[in-house]
Amino acid sequence: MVLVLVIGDLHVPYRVHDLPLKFKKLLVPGKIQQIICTGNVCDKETFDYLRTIAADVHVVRGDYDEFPSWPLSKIITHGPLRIGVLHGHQVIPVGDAESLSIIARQMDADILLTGHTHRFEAIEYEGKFFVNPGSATGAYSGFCTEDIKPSFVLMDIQGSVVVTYVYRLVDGDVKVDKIEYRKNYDTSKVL
Amino acid sequence: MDSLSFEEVKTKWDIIFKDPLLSLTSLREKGYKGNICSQGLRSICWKLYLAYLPSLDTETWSLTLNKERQHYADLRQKYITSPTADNDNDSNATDLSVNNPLSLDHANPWQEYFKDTELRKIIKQDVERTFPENEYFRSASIQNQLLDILFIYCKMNTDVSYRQGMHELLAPILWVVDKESLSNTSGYAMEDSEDAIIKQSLSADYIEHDTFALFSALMKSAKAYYEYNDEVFNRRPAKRTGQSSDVDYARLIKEAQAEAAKLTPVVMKCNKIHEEYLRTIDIELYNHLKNLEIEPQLYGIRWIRLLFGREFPINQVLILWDGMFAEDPTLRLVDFVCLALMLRIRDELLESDYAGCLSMLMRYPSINDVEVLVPQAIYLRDHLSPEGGNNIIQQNAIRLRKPIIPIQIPAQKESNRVEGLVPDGFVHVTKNSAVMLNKAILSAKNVLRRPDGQYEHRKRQSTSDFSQRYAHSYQQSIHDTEPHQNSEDILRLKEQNRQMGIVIQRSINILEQELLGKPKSREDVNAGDADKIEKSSDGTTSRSSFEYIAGNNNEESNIPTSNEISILNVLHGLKHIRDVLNGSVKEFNPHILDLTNNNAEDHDHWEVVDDGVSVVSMAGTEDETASVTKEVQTKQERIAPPVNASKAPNLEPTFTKDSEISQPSPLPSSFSSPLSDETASQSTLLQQSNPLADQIKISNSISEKPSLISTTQSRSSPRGVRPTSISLPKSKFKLNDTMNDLDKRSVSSPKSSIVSNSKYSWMVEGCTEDDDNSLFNPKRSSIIGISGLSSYSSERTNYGYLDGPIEDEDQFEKSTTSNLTQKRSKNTSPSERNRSENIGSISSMNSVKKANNNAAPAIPVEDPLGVL
Repeated sequence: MVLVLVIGDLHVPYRVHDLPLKFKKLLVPGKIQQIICTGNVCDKETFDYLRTIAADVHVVRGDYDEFPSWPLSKIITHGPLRIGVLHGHQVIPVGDAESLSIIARQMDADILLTGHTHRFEAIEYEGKFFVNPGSATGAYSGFCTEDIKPSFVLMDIQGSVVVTYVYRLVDGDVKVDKIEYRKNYDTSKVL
Repeated sequence: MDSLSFEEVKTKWDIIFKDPLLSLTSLREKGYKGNICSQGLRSICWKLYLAYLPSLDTETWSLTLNKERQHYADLRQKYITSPTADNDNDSNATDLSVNNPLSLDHANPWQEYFKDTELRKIIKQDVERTFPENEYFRSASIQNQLLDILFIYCKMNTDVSYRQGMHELLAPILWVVDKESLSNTSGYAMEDSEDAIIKQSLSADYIEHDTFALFSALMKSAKAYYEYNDEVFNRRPAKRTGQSSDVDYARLIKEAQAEAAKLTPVVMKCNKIHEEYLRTIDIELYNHLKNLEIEPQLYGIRWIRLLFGREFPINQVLILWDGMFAEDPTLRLVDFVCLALMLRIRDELLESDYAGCLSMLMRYPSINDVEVLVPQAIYLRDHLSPEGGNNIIQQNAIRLRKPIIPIQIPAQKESNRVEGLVPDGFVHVTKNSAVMLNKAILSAKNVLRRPDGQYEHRKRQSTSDFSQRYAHSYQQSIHDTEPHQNSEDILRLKEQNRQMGIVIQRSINILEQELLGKPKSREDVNAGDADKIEKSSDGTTSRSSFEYIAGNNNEESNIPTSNEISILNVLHGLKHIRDVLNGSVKEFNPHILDLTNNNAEDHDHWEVVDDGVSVVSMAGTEDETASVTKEVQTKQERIAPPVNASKAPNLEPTFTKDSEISQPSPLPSSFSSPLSDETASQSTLLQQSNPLADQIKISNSISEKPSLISTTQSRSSPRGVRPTSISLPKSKFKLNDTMNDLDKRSVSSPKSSIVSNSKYSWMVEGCTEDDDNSLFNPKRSSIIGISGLSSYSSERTNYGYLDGPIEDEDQFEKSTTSNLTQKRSKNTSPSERNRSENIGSISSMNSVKKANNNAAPAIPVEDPLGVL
């Protein structure tokens, strides 16, 4: 059982000065084994903060990140699961399920984690699982017209089963939702 | 790990359960005295010892096993859970705001999960390091099993939780259970009930379950070793305002913690062992360690917590655990095993400085006979005294020293040492009588071959040139034939044989004085002067047996009665045995004993050395043993026919003067006795010096022959009729009666020098110092016989003149094992015991001399291999 924090689009310090306090209270060391960051952390201090939550931090470069050495995409495996990570500004149209599905096929990922839209999304499409954790700080985005709520995702990976906990800050309260994804071997297998 | 096939398991199973005398007690006894666990199924034994399986009734096992295994499965389900598991009845479980990994709510199951994860991490660290040299424990699945078991145990015992060391207790158990598991247990319902129960109890599907049950049972008592007094430990001394600096405060805390550490149960236990037990049994070692300021918890905690698991390799640990579990599942024996370990390296410790002692205690030197530790510990538990410690020390000294190295043990400690061996000796007997007897034979052989003077103290220098000459040549063959582990038995038996020789010598002296009526003969036996007796015996042992005959004849020439000749024959044989025992004669010569049998060729032999003294010859076709008896009886008849014909048979007059014979014997008596058995066994041992002899056969013959001899001799009639009837089952009573008669005569006719007090006084002193022990030790049958005899006789009469030293008797009492003491306690009250011991030793003397008259010729000369 591995707990993986999926977080991204913090945009600290350019659009938001910090994570919401209620999120900071939840994100304590010792619980989370791994952090996958979808990019746009922006400054080094925020990245260092993430590393205090869990030592194992995987991060891809977003269009506002200051670190040219970070990769644009990454694939992380957890047992039978291949998790592809991409910031998502490369995907056109932004956040489009079909486009993401093409990327997921290209990366041969069972789960594709992207950001960029600042809107939480978790869909199962063509047997693959697409998760967008949204913006952890609720930073402004031009793509999203509606009110942006801060959110992040915690994935509990047990074998081929992924239980996704979605943490959203709604009216000053943390709301938690749970989505379960089970990798279906039949659909991913090509004979 | 190779798992056993069903057939192998079945064989091992039968070793345990095919024992007709099977009981929990006997199984436990075999656990620490034998190797039932190594031969049989150790996991089954442990299950029984630790009371996981309640009884030996295998029918009930199925139920217990199912129950315990289900119990573990339930526990597993209860404790090893995922917080995401559906708990429908729990309202919190469905409330995601509470039940999520990051929730800070106390009802959050994830909080528990994170705690468990921490605990598992700690356990895993240790589990991964379990027995790093053992490939078995490297496999991930095994480590997971260890981890789960420990984790569940910790969850159940939150007060102790996990402490380092528990995994080292668990790992051997898992190893044992897994090694003896049967992987293919399908379809056992179809087979017969025994196979089914075997397969069920050893099912590989339930290794983890059974291991957990055993571990829990073990930890019931071992848990105390891991308890930690947190409350005391965390108590901070109050910081007084304005008192002192932080440095001082830190020092205060440290002191408080040191104080608290002393209150930890295991440290208290260590201190108790050190301050109380070790101080009692070995003040010298205690003072040494005290002076070096070596705290007992430095090594003791590890010893106790791991049950010595780190001190020895795993196979030795298993043997040690067998004994400890078998003796006492509550592990009370651990304290005394610690003591036994300390005493084992006592000499080295006393020679070492601080660093040396510490390294020796922390890294215990390897020993190869770990199985003796438990019997030693039991002995120490039962004899928690300086004497008990001394006995173990001396036993270790004998055990560790090679036969070549001389032992310088002061003479006054001799009896202690021999006596201290007894419990250990019993262990060997019960372990496997055949093995023991083989060892005894080998030892005896060794004694015969290499009798030179390393044990010769007490002014005894019987080391003749003759024996020394042979010492070297035989040394070679000893090394070829003698298993190394027998060395301690050899050492022991050497000493005992020597002492036996002394006893026989004394008996001979008395006999000669009595029968030949020549107190001023060459072997001038001045009654009461023990030194002189020994001196004379020294002088004579160097003579060859033929010289003896000559000497005997010289002495005898003054008494030309032909009746005495056969007695002389017997005496001659007896002397030969003594010489062999002393080592002054290199090899046992059955022909010398044959002389008394009057076979044709022996007769010639006799006449060659004899100065024309004719031998009253019996019918040559007679059975040997019978003929001797007959012969003797014929003499007796001639000398003095029994006063009362209706009285039971009485052979004593042969050896006594006419005045004594007139005393009617109230009880049937005979020369057959346990001591004659002993002599016979001894002689059989002597024959074993023939290198061609088969040891196993001999060992059989030892066990069988004495009974045969007693059968042929015990019921001889006074009229010289050939003995045919069956012997009475308890020959020791008869010997006792003989004794009794003898003593009664002594009361009635004080002139009779054979039983005069002055003469016995030295015998009482002498034999209680060492001889009785030497007699008692190697041959258990004779021990029981003698003790039973002595107790019996003490019931009948009280002998005022017997007031020999009683300290040795007390020690002897301690040294004997339960069956002996039981036997004795049935017969005597404690107040009578000391006296009866003395009587016993006297009777042993007398019976030796008598028994040899019959036993010596009865030695199975034509049957050297012991095939009866």
